[in-house]
Amino acid sequence: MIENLQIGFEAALSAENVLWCFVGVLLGTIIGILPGLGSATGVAILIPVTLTFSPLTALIMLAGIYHGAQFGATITAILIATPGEASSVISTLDGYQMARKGRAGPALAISALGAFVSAMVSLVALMAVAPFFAHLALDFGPPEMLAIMILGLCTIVVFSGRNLPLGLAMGLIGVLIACIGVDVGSGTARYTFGSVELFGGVPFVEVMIGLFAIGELLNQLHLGMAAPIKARFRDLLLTKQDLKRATAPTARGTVIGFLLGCLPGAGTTLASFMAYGAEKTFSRNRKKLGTGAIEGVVAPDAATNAASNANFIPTLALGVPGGATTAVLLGAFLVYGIQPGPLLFENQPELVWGLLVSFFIGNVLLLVLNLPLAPVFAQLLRIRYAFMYPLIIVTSLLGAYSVKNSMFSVWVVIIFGLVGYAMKRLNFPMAPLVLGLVIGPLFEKALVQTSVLAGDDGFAVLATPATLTILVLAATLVTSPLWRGRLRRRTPNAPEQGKAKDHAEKGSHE
Amino acid sequence: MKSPLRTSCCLALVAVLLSSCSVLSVKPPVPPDWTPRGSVPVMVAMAPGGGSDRSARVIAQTLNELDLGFDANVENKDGGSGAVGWATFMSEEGNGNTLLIAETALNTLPLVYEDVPFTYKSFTPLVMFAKDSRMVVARKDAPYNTCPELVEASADHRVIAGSSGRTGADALVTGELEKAGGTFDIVPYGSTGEVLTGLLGGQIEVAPASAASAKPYLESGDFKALCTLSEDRYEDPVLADVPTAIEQGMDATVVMWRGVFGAGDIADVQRRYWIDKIEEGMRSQTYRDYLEADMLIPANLSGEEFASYLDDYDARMREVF
Repeated sequence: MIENLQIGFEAALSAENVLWCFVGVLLGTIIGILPGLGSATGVAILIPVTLTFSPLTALIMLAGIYHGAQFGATITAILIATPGEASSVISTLDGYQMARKGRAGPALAISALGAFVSAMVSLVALMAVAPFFAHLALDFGPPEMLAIMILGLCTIVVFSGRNLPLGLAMGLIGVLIACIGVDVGSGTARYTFGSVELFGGVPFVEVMIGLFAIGELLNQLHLGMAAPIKARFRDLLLTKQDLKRATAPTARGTVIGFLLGCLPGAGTTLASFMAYGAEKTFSRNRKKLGTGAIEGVVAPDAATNAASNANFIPTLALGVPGGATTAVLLGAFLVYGIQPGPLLFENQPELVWGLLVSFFIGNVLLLVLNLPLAPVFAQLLRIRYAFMYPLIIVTSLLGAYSVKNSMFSVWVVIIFGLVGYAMKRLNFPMAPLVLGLVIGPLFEKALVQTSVLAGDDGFAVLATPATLTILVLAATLVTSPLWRGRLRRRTPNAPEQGKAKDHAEKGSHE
Repeated sequence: MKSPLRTSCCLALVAVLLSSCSVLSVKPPVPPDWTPRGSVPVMVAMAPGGGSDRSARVIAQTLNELDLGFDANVENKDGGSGAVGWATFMSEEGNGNTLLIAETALNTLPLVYEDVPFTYKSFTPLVMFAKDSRMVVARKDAPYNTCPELVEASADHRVIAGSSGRTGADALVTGELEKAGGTFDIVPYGSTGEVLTGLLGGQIEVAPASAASAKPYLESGDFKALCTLSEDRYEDPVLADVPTAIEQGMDATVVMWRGVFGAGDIADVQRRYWIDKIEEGMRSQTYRDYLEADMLIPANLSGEEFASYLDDYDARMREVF
């Protein structure tokens, strides 16, 4: 391990590599800020540019883009409720509320800090356990994935807020929207009504831009809250209390993100949702979540970063991509004649460890870049809305257009903008809809695969220790409103601070 | 405060919507010395990261290396196993300033999904630049060593196979094995990467795979190759030992093509320009390196030859699907 680190530092710390790492994270941040242009596309576009570099330098820069994009995507999610990447959707929930309260600076800073800490921790874990976890993740076949998706769907209960039936209905609508398009199992086109555009399903990023950015904007227009947010300077900085409140959520987010990131295909978006769900269940301030609580900003961001690092475990050690961007990076490896897979760690130690060490450097650069800039970015909110809103509309629609260079995407944004507006007016919860949309296709795929595997045995394939544990966790989550209420009644005078979490943990063992 | 805000927002929306309406255009005749200008979109109907995307990027790069006064830029329009991108490309009819990189699924997809508006005939075939095939791989502890043994074993007990899609190459492989008398439970996956993960994890027993993606696992000893469905053995040192299905006494081959198309109904001068330049690009080191790294079979059919190859291919696919 120490020897490997030494090899890594020697390779990664050359002036050239550090420079390109910086260029990568900077470009990545910009790519992340632009809605629609995701890190997968960004990396794909820049692969040809890096062809003249040595393989290590090229991969360091491309990985820098990947990391930078995660940071950048959060900035617009918090400031103007426009997620730059699918995985930063959940940051809009509390991040944007914080910004509206004039606390955009701390929201941006804590998100950068949380992301940094989780990146560091997950990188150490990545280096220590990569080969071991890679093989553990292999045991996660379709039945285990199905259990995870069930757990994911169960978090709808947590996301629903007070009105559970409404939340479930929204979740179901999300799943139904996800049904549009060609299905995985039989290849039948569903609800496409002859439109070839719909063959590929309703595109997720565009729906998010519509629901969150345009929907929120229309709502603000309706409310006529056109006064710019006046942020006082002392509100722009993190307080000690902010840091204290952020510690536990960062830890929880990192663990959740890392575990889900190890699984090929589960993705960073799911990780961010699960982390938010965990906060809604376990956090001391769970009641304040959704109204601009720091926990709701830092946990998903920590999870996203941990997951995006853990994504490299299956990518490097098995040669199977953990997510969309690592799939493109895998392609880049092949361009340089490097075959990721079981033999990579043995055959190319300098490359692997150099790359991993560069992740450290990249994240340090990102923190140095983002922390001082957070108050600066936050000042953008002082711009008069007469200028700001048209800007948001144009960037959102252009961003949507740029995903696939097609007008169809723009229409999706406009339609879901109206849907988002209606939902806001009617006070319908947004998160269950999004969750249904994210998990629907993954759930269906796992279900179809599991049923083929099960054959005539019915669902006996689900009876493995891993699936049972996950399913029990799901059941606990669904029933959590019941037992949590009972616990609180039993101990009416429990002090607010410190005890609530213990109860929640005790509860989960019931 | 309120009203200028609303007005400006409305204006922004109207401006964007208006710009979406296409202006009626009259097509000028194509001059005999036509050359492409500015940015040439190279469309690929698959997501970044896969084999099609990679081939598109290689072709775009070989064109850009020729320095012909335009920039070839890859655009991914993925969705519906390619249906979205190909349907979109139909609207480019008559536009010589754009290219499409496609593969076998352009033949097979319209056969499986009958309600798509295009067939391979909707576009102008320019150059077929590579052929590819598939191998059948199994876990190292599988109780069979050749493809005929696999077919035999599937008659005795349940064999679970993986496949990356209903219209791609994997469907052709399972189709051939079933034609030879095998019966399989086929678990659908999203990509070859996922299929190989399933095989590594032991959820499935056997899977089709491209030579390039299977090679590292064959080297590490996790998988064994049962047969290759190519016409001849691979020349690669690791894969040369793998016999073809034909050698093993099974009449089964799977051939996939990769090619460049122009939009439908482009001028003859445009067609000739592109065939000429793409073939020139294929003489580059970039292209040769690509064939070698991805273990593809070299091919070079252009214009009419490519078109009649597609006709034959389509006739064969109609028997399978």
